[in-house]
Amino acid sequence: MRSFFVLWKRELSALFLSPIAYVMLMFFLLVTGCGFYWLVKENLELTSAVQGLMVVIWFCMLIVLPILTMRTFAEERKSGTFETLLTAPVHESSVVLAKFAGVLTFFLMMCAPTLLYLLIVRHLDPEMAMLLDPGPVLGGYLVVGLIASAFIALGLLASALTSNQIIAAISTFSIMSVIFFGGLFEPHLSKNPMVRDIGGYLSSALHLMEAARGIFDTRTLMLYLSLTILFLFGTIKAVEARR
Amino acid sequence: MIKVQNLTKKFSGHTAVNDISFEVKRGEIIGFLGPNGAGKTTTMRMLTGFLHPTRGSVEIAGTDVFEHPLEARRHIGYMPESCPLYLDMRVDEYLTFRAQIKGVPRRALKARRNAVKEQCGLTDTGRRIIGQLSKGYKQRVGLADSLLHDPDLLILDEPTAGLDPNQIREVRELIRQLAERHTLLLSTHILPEAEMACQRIMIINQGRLVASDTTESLQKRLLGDALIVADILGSPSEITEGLNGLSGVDGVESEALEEGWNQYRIDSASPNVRSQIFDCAVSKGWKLRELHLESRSLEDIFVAITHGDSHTEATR
Repeated sequence: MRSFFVLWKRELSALFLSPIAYVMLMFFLLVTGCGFYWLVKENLELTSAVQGLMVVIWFCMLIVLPILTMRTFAEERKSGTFETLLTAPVHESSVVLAKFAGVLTFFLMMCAPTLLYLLIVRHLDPEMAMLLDPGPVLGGYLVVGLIASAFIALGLLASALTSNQIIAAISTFSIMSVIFFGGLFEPHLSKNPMVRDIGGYLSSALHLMEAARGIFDTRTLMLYLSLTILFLFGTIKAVEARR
Repeated sequence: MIKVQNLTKKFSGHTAVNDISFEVKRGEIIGFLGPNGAGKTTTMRMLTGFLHPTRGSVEIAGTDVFEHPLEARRHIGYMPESCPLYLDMRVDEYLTFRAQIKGVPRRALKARRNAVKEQCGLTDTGRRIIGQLSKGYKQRVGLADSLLHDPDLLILDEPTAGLDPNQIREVRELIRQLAERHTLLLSTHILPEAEMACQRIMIINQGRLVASDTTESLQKRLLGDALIVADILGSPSEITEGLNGLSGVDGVESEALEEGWNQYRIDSASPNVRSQIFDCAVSKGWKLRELHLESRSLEDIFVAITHGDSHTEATR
């Protein structure tokens, strides 16, 4: 357990030591900030602006998560530190879980400033903010966290399978985009209703919009939790399979 | 300390390590020799449990490495070949991190860290960023890391690779100090290094263990005969004939030196033939200005064993 916390701390500090993480932070805040400004300006209701904000965050995840996760294992493999790490008395699973927790923590810290946007709106237009229920906002962020964990786990798996960071990032990005665009263009996906249904079920954008409308769906919870566990399990197996 | 049985590792059709068995006792210093691509690194990776063997077993301090990997790793301090480190960390940060994941108790941590820093000559470099250190200092950080949890067994994969002569001397000195307290297994393809530091030499070639003995007995066994060099003034044919006539001389080769001097290289079963050579020179009135026993180095042994296998690297 102690080694998990040590490794988690190391992962988090490695992110803060790398310039790419700061570029990602800036990108994220710029896109969500501009997006939210535009949404508030165009919408009379704050609830739909928050819904929109969730989709903007999901769009950012598409870029941010592959880049944050690509280095986790690929870099260690390439520089050889993988060998020193795994010949220390630590279990493979605690290495994988610590890296997962590290990236997830970093991402949640990245998301935290978006909560300030809501405070700013309350300051500027108290009446508009009065209509906003905290429940849907909380639900929205919960689903953001769930989606992030599933795709961080996916990114770790991709990174564990290769020593090339670019390949890891592109494969994570590809899988995420299929889900992203599949959900976004669900009505135009296919004439076959079954394909459209599957697209709708998997659509993270729809899950986020529903959660931000105040609907708590346990199917969403189960989907992302099981995806996270599946990908983490795969990553542990991939790390063990170096043999 | 180490017990290896029938260790074999195959990589997709290519056998890197082929049926190796050996034992190392506590306190021994073993030099692991072999040409590039012979399987040294693969064997060491299996000893540390980083790679799983295709067949065979490894026991470290009585613990099976593949059944109880964490327990076995606590006994091992390992420094991989290129000495990989986290280049973005400071020396102190890195050593603290490594000590923590190696389970050094929180209270002993700082003392332990300072002890290995002193041992490896890193006392003034604690605040430096590892990426900015020279290769020799990085090697020291790697070595300090492998010592942090005070392991019984140190496995060092080419600890002096890529260092300049001064740094090599420093690292060797360090290894000599470590040898007093730890069991040491170090791989190298630099022979004088093994010859100087190690009590026992294991030579591996094309994935097989071809020799495992002390340096002296390896010399005796593999090169056997003594080689005696004598500088004598006079007619070479007469002298060669005379030397060949001595009992115990197996063969003589001559080489002309300046002003009528010749150097004779005499193959003999025993070094004691020297006194007979002297007597012979005196009785026949030859002028003798040099007579010595040529010591054969590990290099000769190495060449004798691995000779003609230069294609090993290509098949890797």
